[in-house]
Order: sequence, then C-alpha cells, then structure tokens
Amino acid sequence: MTTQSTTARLRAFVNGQIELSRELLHAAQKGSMSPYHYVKPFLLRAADIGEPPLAPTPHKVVYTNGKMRLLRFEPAVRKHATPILFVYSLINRYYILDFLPGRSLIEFMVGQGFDVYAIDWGTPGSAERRMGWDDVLNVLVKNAVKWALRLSGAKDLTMYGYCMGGTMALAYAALHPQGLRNFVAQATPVDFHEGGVFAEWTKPNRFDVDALVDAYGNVPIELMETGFSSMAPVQRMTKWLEVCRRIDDPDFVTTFLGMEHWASDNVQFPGEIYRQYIKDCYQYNNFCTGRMKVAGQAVDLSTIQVPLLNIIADNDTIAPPKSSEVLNTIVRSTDKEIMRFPVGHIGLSTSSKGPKQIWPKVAGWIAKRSDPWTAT
Amino acid sequence: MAKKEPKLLTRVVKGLGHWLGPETPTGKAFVAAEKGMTKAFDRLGGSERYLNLAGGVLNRALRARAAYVEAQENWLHLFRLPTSTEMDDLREEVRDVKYQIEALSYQLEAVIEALEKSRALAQGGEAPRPPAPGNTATDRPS
Repeated sequence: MTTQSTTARLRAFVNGQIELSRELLHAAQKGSMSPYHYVKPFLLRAADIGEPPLAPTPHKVVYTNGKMRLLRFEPAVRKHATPILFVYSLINRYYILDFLPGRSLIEFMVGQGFDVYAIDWGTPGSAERRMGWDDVLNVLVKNAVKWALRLSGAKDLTMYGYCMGGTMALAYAALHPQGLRNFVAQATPVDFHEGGVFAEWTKPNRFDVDALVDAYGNVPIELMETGFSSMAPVQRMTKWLEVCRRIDDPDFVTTFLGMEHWASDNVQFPGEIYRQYIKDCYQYNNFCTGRMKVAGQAVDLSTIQVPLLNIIADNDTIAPPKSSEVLNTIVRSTDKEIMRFPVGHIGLSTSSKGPKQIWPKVAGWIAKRSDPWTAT
Repeated sequence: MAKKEPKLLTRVVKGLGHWLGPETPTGKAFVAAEKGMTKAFDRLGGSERYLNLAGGVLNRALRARAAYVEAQENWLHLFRLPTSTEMDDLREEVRDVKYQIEALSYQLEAVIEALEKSRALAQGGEAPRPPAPGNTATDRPS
C-alpha cells in the first residue's frame, strides 16, 4: 500500500515536471518576451489554481468581416431598448472589458439590462496590412453599428469607446452621427500633444513610422512589447514579487495572472492604420485640431452633438487626464459630463472599485439617456 | 480539522516574496535598489539626448531593413516572381471585392424587404420587419 502510494506520488511528480518543462519550452520556442509565459506555470502550481476564467460572459458572434467579429451579450432580462456598442483599441484584445466573473464591465452592463455588443478586432495578419482609417471606420465600425441596431431592434445606440477605440469611435461619431444616441469615452486620448511618454517617443524627428511600416508591414508583437515594457522596465519585473508574497490568496493570484495574460496577449498592429494613427494623432495632432481626414472627409469633433460622458482615470499614463479632458471643450453636445476616478488606465475596467464605485455611476448615466425596453 | 500543509513550491515562492519583501533587511536593500533603478530609468526616458540617440539608432535600423526589403523585391521582379507588395495589392483587391459583395447583399435585402412590404400592403397583412438601418448604397467606401 505504502509502496504503491509512493510510486503514485513519484509518478505524479515526474509527470508534473515533464508538463512544466514542456510549458516552458513552448514559451521559449514562441520567443515570448513577457515574463508571464515563464513564471505562470510555477505560480499556477504554487497557488494550486487553474487558468484565470477570462471573458466569462456568454455571447454570440453576430457579424464577422475578415478578422473582426461583432459579439452580442444579451441580458437575461432586458430593461433598456438602447443597446451599447463597445469599440476597443487595436492594441491588445477586447476581453479586458470582459475580464473575470464579478470584475467584468460587460457582465455588469448586461446585468443592468443592457443589450451589449462589442467589437473584437481579432488577431490581424498580412491580410490586414493595408487596412486604414477608411476600412476601419467606414466599413467595420459602420457595419457593427448597423448590425447592432438591426439585431437589437433599436433606432440608435450608445457608443462606448475605450482608449484608442475611443479615439476611433469619436472619429466615427464625427463622420456618421446617424444612429448614435449617446457617447461614452473611457480613457480616450484626444489631445495627443499631451499624450505623455508616447508623444515624446514618437516625435517625427525621433520615429520614422514610414520606415517601420515599409520594413515590417504590420508592427511586430516584439516591438509593441518593447514599447510597453520601456514605460516601467523595473516594475515590469518586480511586480511579480507581490504575487509571490500573496501566493496563498487565490483571488489575488487569479486576478494578477488574468491581467498579465491579457497584457502579454499582444497582437500585430495593422501597418497602414498604424502609420495613419501615429501621424494623425501623435506626430501632428490632426485628430484634435480637425485636420484628420478619412477617405477625403475631415474629422471634425465639434460636429458631435450627442450626450457625452468622458471617463478619466486620474493615474492614467497611457491617456493622461490632460489629453482626455479637452474633449468636453471641443464637442458641441449640451449634455456633457466628466467623471474622474482615482485609478489607472486599465483599472477603469478591472479594478475592484469597478463594480462598486465606477460602473454603477456609468450605467446610471447611460440608463438615464436610454429608452426603456418594452417587450412586444 | 487540521490545516493542509502547503506544498514545497508554495513555500519556496512565498519565501522568495518574503525574502525580497519590504519588511526584511534583504528586502529593504532590494526596495532601495528598485527605487534607484526606477529613478535612473525615468531620467533616461525623459532625457532628450538619450531619446534622440535611441530614436536615431532605431530609425537607421528600420531604414536599413526597408532598403533590404526593397532590394529583395527588385530581385524577385528580375525573376518575374511575385513580391510581398504585389501580394498585398492582391489582398487589397480581394478585400474590395468582399466589401462589394457585402454591400450588394445589403442592397438585395433592401429590395426583398421592399417587396415584402408591398406584398404585405397588398394583402393587408401585418407589416414586415424594419429595414436595415443606414444607407445601403454607401456601405462600401470607394
């Protein structure tokens, strides 16, 4: 009996070591730069937990175009006729908005009775290399709006843009105001000359974006990762010690690994749109000054008249408050408000303050400006 | 009920965290080193001279690679082989065709809906579903 149990334990140990080595080898073969892929196998075993349950809210794919997918999150009990369409950034993946059970902005909005839609840009490849503002705004976002309206049976919707997704959604709102009821801009940079370190790094004399796109096509993942890690190179490594200290707190480890999983899940940035984004926004600030053009049409933010909620994170270093707050002075909306919260850029969507302090206020603002749902 | 003994790996990980935590002498030294390094990196990241230098090196490397790609494509042209730029052109054309098909399907739906509507009106039946929002003719930018 004892010999048998010792043999079983030894076998389990050896199998565990083989599996661990395989995971590490796999990460090394992929050439992953993020420490997440190398440290995660140890932490999962040490904390005795499974993979973080990311993107937990049930959804259906209702429209696709190339790599882009439009996801629908239907509420069990619908209370509002006006749906919400989330437009996320082309950097990283959309599921930061549907992070973990109880810590998901999408799950929260669905729970409040909203019919929610979100654009997942997917993982761009060579087919997306030449995609520009025109394709993204005049085709993909436009069709997402159209399908969200058609499926929800509403005549207009609340557009909810986050980070670069907010910038793109604002450009869309300026070009195509039809079908928009409200606009929510979360951590959205508008005045890019107040854009913090990124504005400094991408100055025209320092960064030849044409050479980058000509050389690589799409922006390689490694280059994106290098850029992000250069923002806080020391903390990028030392933050792992906090999780070591709190290894016996499964909730903390799950949230931490969930966040690191998302942060390391970088995707290639479609080359042509990157060129336009860097030039129009960071280098020449055309977006803020009304000089940005999409298919020959000027993007004039002052034409936006729908009710506007501008959500700002006080500790945001990616979209610094100064770069976002100017939006309320540019748009022509009479109903406009700024909400500020003492969190960071990502904290608006993932912090424990989200479901308690941030999202109820945001949902309340949207609900007040949405039609009530009357089942037919 | 007796508390389960933590695994060796759990103890090692926790020990490492504790050893470099702010409450131990080693940890205090580590935190001081971390603060110093952060300050140094912040200064470096904000230094015009460093940024210009790093930007210059990066730009030179990117231009060299772009020139290499161009040279490679010229060689491929010489042998009448398709280049990546030509493949991109092809992909762009395929995408345009896809957009046109999509716009056409919307237009077709609008026609079907109009037909259904007129049939329903003729029969005095209930109204069909509302038409697709947006202008179908402008679905695809040219």
